[in-house]
Amino acid sequence: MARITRVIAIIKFLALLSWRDIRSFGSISGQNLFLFVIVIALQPESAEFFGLLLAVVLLFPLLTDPAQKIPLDRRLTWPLSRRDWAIIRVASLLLSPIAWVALAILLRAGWRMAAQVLLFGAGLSLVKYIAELGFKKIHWTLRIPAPPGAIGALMLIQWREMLRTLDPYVALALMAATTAYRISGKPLDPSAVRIISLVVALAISTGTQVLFGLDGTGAQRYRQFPLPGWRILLAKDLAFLLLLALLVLPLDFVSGLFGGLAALAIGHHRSVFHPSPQKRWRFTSGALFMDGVLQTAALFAAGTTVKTAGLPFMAFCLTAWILSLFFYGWQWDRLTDRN
Amino acid sequence: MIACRELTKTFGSFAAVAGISFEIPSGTVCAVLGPNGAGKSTLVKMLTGLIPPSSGNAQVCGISPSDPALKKIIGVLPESLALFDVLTIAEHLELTGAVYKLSPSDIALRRDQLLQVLDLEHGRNTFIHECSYGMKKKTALAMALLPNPRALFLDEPFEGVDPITAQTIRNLLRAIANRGVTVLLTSHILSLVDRVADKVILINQGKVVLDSAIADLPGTLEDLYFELVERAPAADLEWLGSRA
Repeated sequence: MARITRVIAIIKFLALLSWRDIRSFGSISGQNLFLFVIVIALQPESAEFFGLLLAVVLLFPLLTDPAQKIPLDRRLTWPLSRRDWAIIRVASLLLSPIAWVALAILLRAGWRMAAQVLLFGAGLSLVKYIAELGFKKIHWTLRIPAPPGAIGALMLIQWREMLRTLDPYVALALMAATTAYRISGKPLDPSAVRIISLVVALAISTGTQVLFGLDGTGAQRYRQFPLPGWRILLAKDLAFLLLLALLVLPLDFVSGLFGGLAALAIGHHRSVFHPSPQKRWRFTSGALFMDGVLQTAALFAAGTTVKTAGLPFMAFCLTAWILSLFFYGWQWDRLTDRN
Repeated sequence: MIACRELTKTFGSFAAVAGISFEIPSGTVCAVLGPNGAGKSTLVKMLTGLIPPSSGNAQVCGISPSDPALKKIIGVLPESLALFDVLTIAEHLELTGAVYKLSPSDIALRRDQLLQVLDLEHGRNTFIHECSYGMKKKTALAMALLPNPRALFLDEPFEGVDPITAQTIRNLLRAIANRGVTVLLTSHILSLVDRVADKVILINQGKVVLDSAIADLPGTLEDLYFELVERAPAADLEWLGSRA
């Protein structure tokens, strides 16, 4: 009896941890791309592709084995038998969201479809496992070169942090799918390329609202460095713009980049005044209302107008970004003094 | 020199630091001691310009903590360590060197020497989130030392590090103090403080209860601490060890 009580207690604890983990995926509701999907869902067939893309990227972190949430040292030192652990492992598989999705499909669409979903989940799990092994072995982010100087060192931090969220991977998938489609020779309206370029920029734009969100305790280090606020913001902005430039290079480079500048000019406000901590391997979460709405509108407006209005509009966008950079850099310094 | 007069920090109606005054001459290692919540970390934050005082004033090497120029001449080991999960140990030192505008050759030289002295060489390419607490503490300490500061503020430098490293840190602090660097540290390890500090300040509930040179202490530091600051409560949990 005592054994069963112990095992049930651990399974309940795993269920609690799984529930908390799943709740953290609610961060997607603060993602600018989510807003875009909601808006275009008025025309369901248009939203389908973007929704599917978000769902697949979201699936990767959801595939974590719930039993792995118990630290290894605890697993080794708790007085449980192999049989106990076998029961816990089987029960923990039922706590996996992919099992729930399969169950829902089983009830609605029959066992064939449910089996396909489980098989798809198992396949993704395998890909994730291999990717994680590779990630641990290679430490590929160590290979990202740091530009010279203090700004360069700070840019490196920002790149590594951005690459530990799901946002750039949605953008990458979008860019890769569009590029593959174009390479296949099928006709694609130039305005569609521009729109996709802007959606790519939008997918990573929420990060501009939370530029200090993944710094952890490191954020306090910025306060100790003899650097003015605008230089710290500049490093973070340049890191964002360079990543964006790579993502929109095969698409509509100019539209994407100027859309990104508009997102930055607006995102500084929330980054400086309402820094919100972010979780790794989740979608970046900002404030959809009003910052996200403003950013989305400004990003699309800037990205589409820049093509028709040319150089004067480019100068306008650049000026707006520079003014925002210095203003919020100054505000950042003032906040240090007021703390 | 580090000096403060009637330095006070209040959070609402709570006074974390209540009118503290002292002077620490150049080339001195001063230990600020006190129980958890006594106001030690708040004091360090005010002296390093991270938070402004509610009243009173302070000077570090003749510069006010509110002056941004102070950041260029001090080294800080903060309570939170303030490290970046996404950087390796060596990269933290390279970042510090770049921020303080050292030449690449100086950065490489100082980085390698600090990694060696603080026994971090084996983990130089380890990401901070994969490091033990001791390694993190040593990395944050190395960041404080790398720019060759004129004043050093160390919040609990000996806690969480192994005895050999603690001794290394002690020797380093003595050596740099002999070259004129002023060191202010906080600690709970009285036996180490006894051996490294020239001066001790005991604070309790935000107030100074003792300010003395170590050599002039009327008794052992431990006895004085228990007498002036706090006594351990007599505690027993009867169920612990009981098999009935």
